[in-house]
Amino acid sequence: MSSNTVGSGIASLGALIFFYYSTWIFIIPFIDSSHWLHAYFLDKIWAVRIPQILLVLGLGMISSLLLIATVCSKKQKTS
Amino acid sequence: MLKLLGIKSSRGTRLTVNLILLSSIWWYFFNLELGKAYEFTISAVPYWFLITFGCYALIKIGLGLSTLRDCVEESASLDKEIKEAKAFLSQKGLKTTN
Repeated sequence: MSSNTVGSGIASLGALIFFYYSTWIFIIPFIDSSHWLHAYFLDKIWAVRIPQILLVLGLGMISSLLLIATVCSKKQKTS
Repeated sequence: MLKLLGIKSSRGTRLTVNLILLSSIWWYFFNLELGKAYEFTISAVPYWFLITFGCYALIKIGLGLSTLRDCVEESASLDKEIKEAKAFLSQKGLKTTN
């Protein structure tokens, strides 16, 4: 698992996510619901809910880590 | 991003000006009230920006990783130099952990 293959894997994952999400937001709402493309995508409301959930989870994790770090350093200072 | 030319400004000022500009453009289109399909797309554009930024970061990291070159000979010579330095210093009296 050389770093070259891992790097190209990460880059292609990023490109895949970008194109999939862009199609989801910019193309799916405008084509007929009988088109074959709709089979590959969830309902378009999920295109908004998934980033919202990721944001809430991500910011929650970051802020809890910061809280833990500050509380621990304060405990070390006082004790 | 925009307007590196012209006025000299700090990075923070440029960032806030860009953000205000893009937000006002988005706000204008948000209140324009075109059909129902456009309403969803315009209201989802901020999330699209977030995802695009994440993807841009992923692609940058991936490309950087993939073009990283392994310097085997330099790594071996560096190891040898570290060993020599350790031997020399421990001979002079410096204690090392390994």
